[in-house]
Amino acid sequence: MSTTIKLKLIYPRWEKLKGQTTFNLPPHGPVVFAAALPPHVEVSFTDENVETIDFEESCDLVAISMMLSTQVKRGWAIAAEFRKRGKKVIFGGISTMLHAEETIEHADAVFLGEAEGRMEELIGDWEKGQLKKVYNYMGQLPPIELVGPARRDLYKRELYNHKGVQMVDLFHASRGCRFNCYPCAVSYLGGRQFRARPFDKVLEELETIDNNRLFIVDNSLAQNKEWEMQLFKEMIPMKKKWISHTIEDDPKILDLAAQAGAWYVYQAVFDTSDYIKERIKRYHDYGIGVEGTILLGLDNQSEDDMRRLIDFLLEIDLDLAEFTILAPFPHTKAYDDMMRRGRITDYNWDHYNAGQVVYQPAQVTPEKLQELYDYAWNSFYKEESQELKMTKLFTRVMRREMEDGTWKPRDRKLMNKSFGKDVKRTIGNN
Amino acid sequence: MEVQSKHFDEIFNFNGKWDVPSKCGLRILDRNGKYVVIATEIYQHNPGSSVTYAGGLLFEQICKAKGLDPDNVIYVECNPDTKSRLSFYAEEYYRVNFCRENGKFVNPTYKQLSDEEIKELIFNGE
Repeated sequence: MSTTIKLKLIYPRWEKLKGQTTFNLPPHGPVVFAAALPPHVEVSFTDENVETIDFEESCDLVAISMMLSTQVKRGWAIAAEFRKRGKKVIFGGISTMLHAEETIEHADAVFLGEAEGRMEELIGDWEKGQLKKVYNYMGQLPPIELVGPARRDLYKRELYNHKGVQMVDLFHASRGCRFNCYPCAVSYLGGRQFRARPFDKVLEELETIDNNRLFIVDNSLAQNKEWEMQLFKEMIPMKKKWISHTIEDDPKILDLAAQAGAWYVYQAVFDTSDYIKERIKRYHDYGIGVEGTILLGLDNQSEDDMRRLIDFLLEIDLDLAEFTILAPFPHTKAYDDMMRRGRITDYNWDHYNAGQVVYQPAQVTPEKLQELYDYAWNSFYKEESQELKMTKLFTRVMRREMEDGTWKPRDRKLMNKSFGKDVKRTIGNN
Repeated sequence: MEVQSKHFDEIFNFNGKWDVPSKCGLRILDRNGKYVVIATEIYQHNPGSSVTYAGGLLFEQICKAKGLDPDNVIYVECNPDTKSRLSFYAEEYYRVNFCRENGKFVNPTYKQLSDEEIKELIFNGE
């Protein structure tokens, strides 16, 4: 019988976007990875966005899970600290795959690909003292049936709580993406084929989540109409309330989504067309809120175009808006196009937070683009702050929960805490 | 978006970054003993690394598979128009040169070909 292995699993911190209200959500990648580990591996999880890493904590092995390019340099620094203390460090996750060549320099091993069914090999090698530098499973996707319930028991729940309100739990019902969007690397990472998890597994996992509010993080729900409708039908009795990326623009599907608890969606707003205006309206017609995601700095955008787009957002009654600057992440068409033309000016991955200009824009200067980005945030939230708009959306979901009997009051013990830190309350006009 | 087969004569299977199974369109033109190799990105039909990202890896594999002397090859990347709402480039051809380091083809440099150069190099032939 194998001896218990203590594995310290770390999710590195990153700088949040300026102007954006910080909501730390419980990360999904690390707990999905943890679910793939053999049973004799005991996991201690630290999300550095909400707590401090104890480098002296006793452990046998360290795993660093990274999702964003802005996490990789911090991940490498964390690895250096543990390796100084004689610990072996393995890396995995989306941004490990995007930045694999560099990450190898900071790791004892990197795991590339999806973890299900592969962790026995890696842990076995470590036990034998034969850890390989690279576990390369890129392009070799495991059977989707192997994806088990994420290890949400590893979360320190009180750290994902803002003034008594529990943050949404992340969940996925499928992997892969059949779309080929310009700024996105998902098809390289998860394959171009949409892979739906079996419904029984999806429902089984949903049942285990002790949270009525979810963020369904699938790349897009609009990949297969039949599947999407079936998913929503299956979810209706659960009375969950959820956020997701795009939902198919079809009245039947939008209706089912609303019945299944669609709270609000992230919808790309890329131009000022009537199509966009009507698309937003259709979501609203079914009681689904919309957070517009607006990418600035595309090659077809002049300064006037960007200003018009920002003004347009105020006309179309978006519930929230999130502005980002195009970032040419590796393995995207944006990267290829800009690299060939020599337009990428900055390869410091800390700056790839989609809030900084790291390339030469086509129609404006980098400084002007940065200015327009600030203008976008400021003008959209000028009349009503992001927190207030979020509160309105929140009120809407509470009302629905009260109607269907799923509403739970805030946790009063955590009313004065925000993501583990004390909240300073100002009373009166000071 | 379907890349039209006018861009290539065959689909070439290659190992992309981290040996990810990948595909591109391939056309090889014999220009009086000098070979013009055109590797075309096929987007949705390429399950792995893009032609650009694979760069020297792809060039090396084409030369090896087709028995071409790399010094006798003019290597061209073709990136067809994706007709995407978020992509802005019409069809583009780049001539790509690599440095050779320890037998590997690295540090690509790109020169976009003008319409005239494309006609001359690819369509007019000798």
